[in-house]
Amino acid sequence: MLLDLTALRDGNRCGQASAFMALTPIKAGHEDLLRADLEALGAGDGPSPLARLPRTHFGRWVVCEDFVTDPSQGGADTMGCPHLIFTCCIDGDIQSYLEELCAELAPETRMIWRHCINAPDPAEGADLVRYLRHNQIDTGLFYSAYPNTTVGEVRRVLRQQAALRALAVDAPMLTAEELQRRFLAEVGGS
Amino acid sequence: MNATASLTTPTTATGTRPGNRDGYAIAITVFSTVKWWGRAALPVVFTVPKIAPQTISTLQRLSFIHFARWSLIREIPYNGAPQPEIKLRHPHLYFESNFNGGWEEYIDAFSHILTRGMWLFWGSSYGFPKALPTGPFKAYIKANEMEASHFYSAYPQATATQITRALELDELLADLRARAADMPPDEFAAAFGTLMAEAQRCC
Amino acid sequence: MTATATALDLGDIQGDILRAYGNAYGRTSYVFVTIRDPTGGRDWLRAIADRVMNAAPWPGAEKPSCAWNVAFSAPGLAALGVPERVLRTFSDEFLEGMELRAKVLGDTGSSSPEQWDGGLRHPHVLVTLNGLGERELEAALTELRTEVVRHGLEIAHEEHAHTLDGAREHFGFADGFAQPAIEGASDDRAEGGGVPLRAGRWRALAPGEFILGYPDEDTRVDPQGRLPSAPASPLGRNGTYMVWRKLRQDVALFRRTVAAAAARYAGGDERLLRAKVVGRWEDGAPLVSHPIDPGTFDATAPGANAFLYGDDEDGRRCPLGAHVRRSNPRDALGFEGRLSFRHRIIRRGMPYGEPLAEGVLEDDGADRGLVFVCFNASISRQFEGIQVQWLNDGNVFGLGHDTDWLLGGQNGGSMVVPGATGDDPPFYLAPQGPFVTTRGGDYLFVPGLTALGAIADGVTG
Ligand code: HEM
Repeated sequence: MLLDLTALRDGNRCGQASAFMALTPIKAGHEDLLRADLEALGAGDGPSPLARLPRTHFGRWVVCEDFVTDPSQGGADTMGCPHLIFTCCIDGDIQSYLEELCAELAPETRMIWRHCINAPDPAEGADLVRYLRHNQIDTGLFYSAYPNTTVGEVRRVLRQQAALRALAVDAPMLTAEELQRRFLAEVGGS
Repeated sequence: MNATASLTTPTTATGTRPGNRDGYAIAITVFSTVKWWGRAALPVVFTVPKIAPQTISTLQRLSFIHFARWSLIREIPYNGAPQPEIKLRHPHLYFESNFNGGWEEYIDAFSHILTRGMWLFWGSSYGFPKALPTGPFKAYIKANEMEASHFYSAYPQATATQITRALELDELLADLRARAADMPPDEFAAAFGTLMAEAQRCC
Repeated sequence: MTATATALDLGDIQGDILRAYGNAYGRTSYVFVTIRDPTGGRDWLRAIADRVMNAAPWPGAEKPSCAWNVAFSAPGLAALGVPERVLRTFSDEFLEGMELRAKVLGDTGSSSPEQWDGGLRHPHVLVTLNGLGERELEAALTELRTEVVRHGLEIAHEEHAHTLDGAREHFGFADGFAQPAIEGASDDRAEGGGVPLRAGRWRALAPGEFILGYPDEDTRVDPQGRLPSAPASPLGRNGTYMVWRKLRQDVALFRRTVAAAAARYAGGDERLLRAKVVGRWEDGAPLVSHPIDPGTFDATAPGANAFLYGDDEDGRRCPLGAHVRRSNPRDALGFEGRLSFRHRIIRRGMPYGEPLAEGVLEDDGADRGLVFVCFNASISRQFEGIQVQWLNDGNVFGLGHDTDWLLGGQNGGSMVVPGATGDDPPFYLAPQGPFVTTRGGDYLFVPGLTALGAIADGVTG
C-alpha cells in the first residue's frame, strides 16, 4: 500500500507564494486562433494584462499539442486533444487570486478561454473560477528563490538598490551635507 | 539579408524561442512521460526533506531561478463531451522554470552541478538522457520544450541574484535608514562609508 | 591515457588556430574577397590552396616569409556552391552570421551594423596573410590581389594590422598571452591555461573544444564517447569556427575618463585604477598575485598565468568586474569552475591603426583598435557565452547589469572596485563612453586542408 506523501503538505505553496496551474482542453481546430489571441495580448511593447494583477510574479499561457512520446515507452499516451496550459506564481492564496483574474481581466479571459471545451460563456467571473479550479493540476514541488517576498516588496528593494548604487557612484564628489540630503531623498529614511 | 539565415529557426539572445522571454526572464516548459516506478518515487522526492532539499539549496546557490515547479499529472481533468475521455497509462511530469541568464548556461549548470538532482527528478522519465554529457541532454530539452504564447514577469529587468542581493541590502540598510535623518552630516557620511564597505556585494 | 587523447592531425589543421603567429610575424592583413560565381571562386581557391599553411611544426628556424590562411562565411560557402543540404549541418549562429546576431551581441547604437564599414557587411571569404615584415607582406598582397582579379572576384575590404611595441593593445596593456591549454597541442600551458583541479593541479582542455572532429569536454564524460556535433563530412574534421570583429578603440576618451576617475581614487593612483579595470597591470602581471605593484613579471614564464580567484572572493585584489576576471572567471563562479570551463576561446587578435602618442588626451580622429579574432568549436557556447553573459552583463558575477567597463557597450554600466580591506568602502566608476565600438565582422568557418580541397573541387557532399 502506498502512502500519498503529497497529501502531507501543500505542494502549491512555498512561503507566502502560491503556484497555480490549469490544463484546459482546446476546441477542435482552435489552436491557432488561441495562439493568435494569446500573442496579441500586450503585443509589441504594450503591458501584459497580467500587469493589472499586482500579485502576479510570473505567468504564462502555453498551447500544448500533446504529451511527449518517447520511443521506449511503448506507444503514445495522449491528452486526447490539444490543451491550454495556464500557470502563475503569485502572492497569497489561489482562490482570491483567481477571483481577481476572472473579474479584473474579464475582457482577456473571455478571449482566451472561449477557445476551450465547455468553458463558461462568457468565460469570466465565478463560473470561470469554478472551471479553472475543476481543471487545476496540483503542484508537487514549488520552488522560489525569495518565497516570502511579495511583488511590491521585490520592486521596492530593487528601486532602493538602484538608488543607493547611483548615490554611491556620485558620493566621492559630494559634501557630507549633500550626501545625507540625497540619501534621505533618494534612498529614504524610515 | 543573409541568404543562409533562412536555414535556421529563430532563437533569441539566450538560445530560447522569442515567446519564452520577457526582458531578462526566460520560461522553460516541458513534459516527460514517467515510468511506473516514478508514480511512487516522485512524490517522495517532492516531499521527503532529506532528498530534494539538497537540490533545492544548490538551486538557491546557483541563483538563476526565480520560481520553478514540478507536478505529476495522473489524470486529465474531464469537462464532458466533446472532450475525449482519457485514461492515462503513465503519469506525466510537468516542469516549468522562470529563470534568467542564457539557456545554454542554464542547462550547462543543471548538467554539471545538479547531476544527481536531475536524476532524482527525471531519472524515472522515459527517454531522459543522463544530465551528462550535456549534448544529448540539451537536445532532449530542445526537442521537448514548448514555446509559450504569452509569458509575463512583473519585474522583467531583474534577475534572481539581483533580487536576493537587494533583499540582503534592505536588511543592512534598515539601521542607517532609521537614523539618517537625525545624524550630523559628518557622522552620516562616516556611517554611509561603513555601510557601503559592508554592502558592496549587494549594491 | 585518457579517452580523449587523440592525436591532432596537424598536417590538416590550418596553422593560425593552434599557433600564435603574432609571436613570429609582426604584420597581418585581413583580406575579404567576394565570390561572383562558383566556378571562378573555386578556380581561385585551387590556385591559392597550396599557399595555405597547416599546423605542422616548422622545420628548424625556417618559417615561411608569409603565412596564408582561409576562412569562409556561410554566404561565402553558398556562393562557392556548397549545397544547402550540407550547409544545414553547420551551427545555427554561423548560418545566421554576425550581422543578424547584432542585437544578441550588443552591437546596437553606434556599434550597429548600419554603422559598420561597408566592405565588412557581407563578407564571403577571409584570407589572412601574416608577413615577417612589410616587404614580405606586400609581396603576398600583390599576389593575392592579382589572383583575385584574374578569376573575376572582388576584394571587399582590407584590414592591415600589426603588433605594437611590447605586445600592447592601444589602451596600453600587454595582450594576448592568456590562452587555453589544449590536450595534444599545448599541454605545457595547462597550469594557468587549462582547467583548475583540486590541490593546485590543472589539466588541459579536450581538443574538441577548439577543433571540430575531436573529443570535447562532453565526450570525456560520455560512456559512449560521442563526438560533438560538426558539419557533415568531409567538412567537419580538422576545421573550426572563427569570430572576426573589428573593434575601434577611443584611446583619448579612455585616458581622459580613467584620469578623471583616478583623481578621486586611492590618492590618485591611476596605474592601480587601470589595473583594476583590466585585472592585470599594464605589463600583464595579474592583480590577484600582484595586488600592490606589478614587480617584474614575465608573462611567458611557466606558471605565470596559474592564478585563481578563490581566495579573492570579494574582489579586494582583482575586482569581480575586471576584464580578465569576466572573460575567464576560472574558479570565480564557484562550483569548482564547472560553470566556466566550457566557455573558453583561443584569441588571435591584432591591433590596427597607429598608436595615439603617449600623453595625448584629445582624439586625433584616426581609426585604431583591435582586430579581435577567436577560434572555438561552438560560437554560441564559447564566444557568445563570454560576450553576452559575461562581458555585456554582470549578473552571473553578482554585478547586476553592469557591462565590462573596459569595453563599455551600449547601456554602459558602472563598475565597482572593492576596497582593499574589509573596512575600505568600494569605489564606483561611473558609466563610460563607450570606449570600444564594433566596426564590422562575421562568423567564419575555417576548414581543414582536406575540406578546403573539397570546397575548391566542389565535392562537399
Ligand atoms: C578592444 C577590446 C578589447 C581589449 C582592449 C582587450 C584587452 C585585453 C587585455 C589587456 C587582456 C589581458 C591580457 C591577456 O590575458 O592576454 C585581455 C584578456 C582577455 N580578453 Fe580581452 N580585450 C578586448 C576585447 C575582448 C573581447 C570582445 C573578448 C571576448 C568576447 C575578450 C576576451 C578576453 C579573454 C578570454 C581574455 C583572457 C583572460 C584569461 O584567460 O585570463 N576580450 N583582453
